Amino acid sequence: MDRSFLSNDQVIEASRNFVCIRLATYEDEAEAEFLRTVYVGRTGDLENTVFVLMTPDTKENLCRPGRSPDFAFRSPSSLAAQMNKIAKQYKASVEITNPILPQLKDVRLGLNVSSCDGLPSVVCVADEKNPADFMQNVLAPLAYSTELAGKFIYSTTTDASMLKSVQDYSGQPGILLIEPGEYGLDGKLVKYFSPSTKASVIEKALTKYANAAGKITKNHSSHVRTGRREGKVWKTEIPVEDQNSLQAMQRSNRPSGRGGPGGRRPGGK
Amino acid sequence: MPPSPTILYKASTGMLLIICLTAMIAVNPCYAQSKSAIPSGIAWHGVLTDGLADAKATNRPIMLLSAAPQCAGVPGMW
Repeated sequence: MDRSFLSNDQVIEASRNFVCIRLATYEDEAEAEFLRTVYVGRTGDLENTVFVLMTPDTKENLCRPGRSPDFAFRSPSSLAAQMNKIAKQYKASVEITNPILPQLKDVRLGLNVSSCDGLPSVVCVADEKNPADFMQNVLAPLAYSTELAGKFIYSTTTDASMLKSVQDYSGQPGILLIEPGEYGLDGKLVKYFSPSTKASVIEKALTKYANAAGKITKNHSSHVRTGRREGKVWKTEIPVEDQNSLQAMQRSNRPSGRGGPGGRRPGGK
Repeated sequence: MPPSPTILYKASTGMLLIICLTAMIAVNPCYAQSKSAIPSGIAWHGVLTDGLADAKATNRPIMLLSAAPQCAGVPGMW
């Protein structure tokens, strides 16, 4: 993922007039089918990453689709300028009064993406008495607010047992602030809000946390090497098609030793 | 016989080098949390149907991205 474009201040500012959708490749068959209509590589396979700007009805691409923004734009500022130009042509037809919470499709993916981004996770745990809609409606305006936009990764579950890997969580319904583990397979409960907590209280707590916690950064090669060694494995929902990724996995799967990750050359010390 | 000043100098320089390298590694870990506040970012819909419904309802253009939340099968890294 091209962070230089997507973490650029001008692009972030321009994104406020767009609906921004970031899918997890190979994690949903229907979404993969849609992505294949947008962009596939030379081999016809769905590649790891896809990027495009589109009309609201998705009928027309507004830039050249590709693996990343640099397929179509020379720099983050040129992307931002184009986004601002496009936004003027698509003035929102209605005032956004009931925003949709920008969330992942489930908590397993939510924790993983949270770890990938190095951002804290906010999870709604619903049950029959505490419907998900209620908590999502409380969180949604906060998720797009100037103070908190893009600082948390949201997800929802009705099955508290999905969060058994989260340290210090008792299984109660409510809204959880979670610090993801290094591999996004577990996490630690930072703060619990009961389902009836007022939005202003949650906003204050999230703002305080965002201002104090900081973003987690990782070293790419070290993360992968250590993860392989420690058996931290992610099973995708559908098979990976990207040839480069498949080759990287094959290299990683070689036994330690000749050519393997961290392996020694014969006779080496 | 006591060590010569040259040997002592070399030994202390070596120790200093080791201490410096250890300190550099300690302040530059592979997994670290920044001390500054979390910066503003893009508010991403993670579900296609949610994003498309939002775009339809608000008539806003779409920035679509997809990325695999694993690298060589290891989670926690795009």
